[in-house]
Amino acid sequence: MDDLPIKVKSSSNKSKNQDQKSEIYKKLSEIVGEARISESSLDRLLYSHDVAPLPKELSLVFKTVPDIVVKPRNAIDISKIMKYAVENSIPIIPRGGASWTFGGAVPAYGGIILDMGNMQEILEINKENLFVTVEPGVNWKKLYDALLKKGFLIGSYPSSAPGATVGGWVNTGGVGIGSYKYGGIDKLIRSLEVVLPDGKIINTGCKNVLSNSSGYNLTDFFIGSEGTLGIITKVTLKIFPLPEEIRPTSFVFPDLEKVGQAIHALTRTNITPYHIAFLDGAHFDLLRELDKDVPTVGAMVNIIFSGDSKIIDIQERTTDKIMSDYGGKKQSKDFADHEWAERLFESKARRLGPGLIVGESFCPVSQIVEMMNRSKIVLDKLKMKGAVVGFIADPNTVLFMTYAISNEHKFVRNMASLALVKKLSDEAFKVGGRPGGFGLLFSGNLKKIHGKGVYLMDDIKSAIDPYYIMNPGKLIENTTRFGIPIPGFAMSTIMNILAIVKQIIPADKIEAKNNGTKQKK
Amino acid sequence: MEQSKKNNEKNPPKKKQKTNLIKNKPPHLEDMYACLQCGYCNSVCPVYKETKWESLTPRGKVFLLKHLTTKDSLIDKILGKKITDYLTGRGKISLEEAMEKIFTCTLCGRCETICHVDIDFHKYWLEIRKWMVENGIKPPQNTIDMYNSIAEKEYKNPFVMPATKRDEWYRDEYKFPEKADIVYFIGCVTSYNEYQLLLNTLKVFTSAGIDFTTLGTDEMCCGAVNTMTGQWDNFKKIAEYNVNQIKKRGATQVVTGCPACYRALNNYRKFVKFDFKLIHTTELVAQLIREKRLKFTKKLKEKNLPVIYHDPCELGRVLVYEGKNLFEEPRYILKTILGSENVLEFSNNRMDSICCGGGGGLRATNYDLTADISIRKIDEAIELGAKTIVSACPNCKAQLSDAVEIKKEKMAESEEKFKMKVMDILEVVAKCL
Repeated sequence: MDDLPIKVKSSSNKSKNQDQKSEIYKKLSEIVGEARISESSLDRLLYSHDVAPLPKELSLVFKTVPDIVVKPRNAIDISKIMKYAVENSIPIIPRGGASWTFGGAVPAYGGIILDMGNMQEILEINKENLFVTVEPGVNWKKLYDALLKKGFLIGSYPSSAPGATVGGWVNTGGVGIGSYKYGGIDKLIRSLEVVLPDGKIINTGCKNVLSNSSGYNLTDFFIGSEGTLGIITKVTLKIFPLPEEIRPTSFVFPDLEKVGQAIHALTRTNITPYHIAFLDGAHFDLLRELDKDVPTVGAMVNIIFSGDSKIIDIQERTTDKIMSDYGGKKQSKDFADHEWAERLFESKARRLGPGLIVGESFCPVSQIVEMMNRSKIVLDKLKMKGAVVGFIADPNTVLFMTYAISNEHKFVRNMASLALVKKLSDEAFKVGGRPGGFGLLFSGNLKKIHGKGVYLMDDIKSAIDPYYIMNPGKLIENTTRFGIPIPGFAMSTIMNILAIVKQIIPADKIEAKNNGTKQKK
Repeated sequence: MEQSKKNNEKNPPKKKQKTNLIKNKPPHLEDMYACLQCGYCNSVCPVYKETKWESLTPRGKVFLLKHLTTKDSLIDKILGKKITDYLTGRGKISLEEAMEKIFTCTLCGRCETICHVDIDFHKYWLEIRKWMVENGIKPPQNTIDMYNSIAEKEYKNPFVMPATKRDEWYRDEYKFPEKADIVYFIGCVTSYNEYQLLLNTLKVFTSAGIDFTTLGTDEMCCGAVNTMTGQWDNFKKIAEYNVNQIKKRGATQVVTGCPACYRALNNYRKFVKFDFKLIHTTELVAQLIREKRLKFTKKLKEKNLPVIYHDPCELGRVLVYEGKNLFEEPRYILKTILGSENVLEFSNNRMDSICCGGGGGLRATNYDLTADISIRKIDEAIELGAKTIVSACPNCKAQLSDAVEIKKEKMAESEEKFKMKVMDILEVVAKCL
């Protein structure tokens, strides 16, 4: 990756005098109008983070605070901004809901943040050809609700649906709720409208039919590209007729191991539930600390069916049998409905830290039990309290979203807690899986996964974005604000040191505090 | 009151002091730290919907507060805060700007319905505003003016209107007894701006033969403005004054048509002891209908049907948070009078109702923004086929009526025309008597 042309320099603070700043401001405000642009330190601060609890100190290494925030109205605005950015070598970072945990929308070099939240129209719901065209800033929950009203179902959506945007999920190559039946975002896209760094506006597919038979599949370049290739300005998604019923069921197990076995058995049948999720009993123990009324369980599986009621009946009976074979006890309908309603709210335990680290990793279903055990060992070794949770993305992929509580008030401990992400991805590699995203810190994993394929990725990046303005410092290569690349081995050494530190220092105290707006009973 | 008035004249309205937000921690620190920054709240925030600025979302505001109040971190201590801020490019954040952002909120509390980590936002934002004002950060000038106007003996309302004019609309027509079982607490918006609502409410009460009176020119603003804008220092005096006036009338019940007054009067309990019961007009009217004390002889004009009911935040969701559920009373009234087929619902109703835009003092500080929020609401009503929006809050009514006018102005050039009436529920009741 050393041959990558790094033409963008981190805007040094010395040169950032008033005149230069106002020049960007002036130029960009000509394009989008002053109401859609801001460079006040307050606004810039708020665009310097995502869900990841990155400490302030990290902004000495990466220039996480952008120079200016712009809310473009449409592809033409963006095209003009791109041209300007290329001319002046200013990084551009697209930002959706900022609900990811890998810092994908956090600038590494400062630059222009394109807040895509300004583009949130649902442009067309086509009933004849079953597709919906939306702007990238559309929120998943809103899209889901809007389609539901018209009698359609969006195939799958992220487990952070009320916060995540369509464009964001495309750029992070998401899988989520419903992916078991309908596939992840990569299976749902008909076409994308993308603005390339040279200002060209292209369509990658065909909105009425399958995007590709032969020919390079342009759509796939942009799925999971973490905003490093272009700005998505329109997304056309497949939609599905509303099923007669969506029926959640819940099963309680004595321990996680049985859960793993039961899920493995279920995925080896022809039953295709809408969604399969599992939760460690520890998850509920943590919620109980927060005074929530939750059941005491060893572990839990939630299986959601969708389709015709009669077919669900048959599938449910077989599923019941499999689950009970492994010791799963079926719960009442109310119980299952409640768990289904809670599907988007799995990070409540953050309040206990305060702080939460999530380690996303994919692993084969055949290794699910192994990975569950390994995750638990990692949590124990790092002396962290957390829970192994996740869902099944397709018949042979489990997505683990194991989380642990950290303490943001303690700088060293909090930094050391980040080692969890690294340790969990190591375990994922060992069982034949891979970690989730790369973002600001984990591009070292890219080579581990793709080997020499990374060089091709490099070439693609250089071909599409020769001036390296699109979200630089992410995915392909993590670089500090001074242009110094962080090689994968260095990052993993740092992470390993953090892990050792975490093992040495005493564990975080976890207790529910009592000075929130909600008084503890 | 006299004293607070003097204070205001000399150094309006707070003493100048060195602001140290790090030392004077904000209330509910745990909530601030618990915030996951997931952004779920953005999806329901009416202000974000119009502005699309992160700084105007609950998430952004919490992040901002966290930044303003967090102790120096390790690196700050080593390098010094100024140098670190310089190196990290964070820059200095103007507290006035922060205050303006915090005040750009309708206090509708819808963010609480979706909060991942269960922050009670309806309480949180009020206390944050209070804390900021206590720390000497000036709230927006309009809210200071309202505060001063309320404290002024000649006005006793936020609109700088003479106190003597408070009963102007009804004093010739109605003579009320000195003492009565029920006191009708009219509220400033109704008294000064919504005379139709005022007269209609009086008509309903009289025709039901209720033994009631008003506070006349003795009524003082309930103080909701003070609580909303964080200027709590004379709220106790207001409470004492109004409770005294009510006690003088010998009332056992106080009824008010304004949800903001309702909540403020309820808040008095923390400062003054009293034993009268507090009810909203919709509760009273629903009871009157159940007891068959109201005879409906007329019908609402056909061209104004069907109506759509808008849940005021403070009578609906926020009241539920405070332990009282009044969702069904207005619906019962409307359905009884107009028939269920003539009463529509917004797609977001009850707990999920979208604010009309006029709450939280935003009408005073950012009128254009509130109009945008309302127009979206009106558009939905038109789409659903409603001819009248009915609310149970004078502030919602004023806000939505204004927005209808603004929308008409905006559409003056275009071919399209629309008709939308905005009424308070008591006006509907009165028109059908």
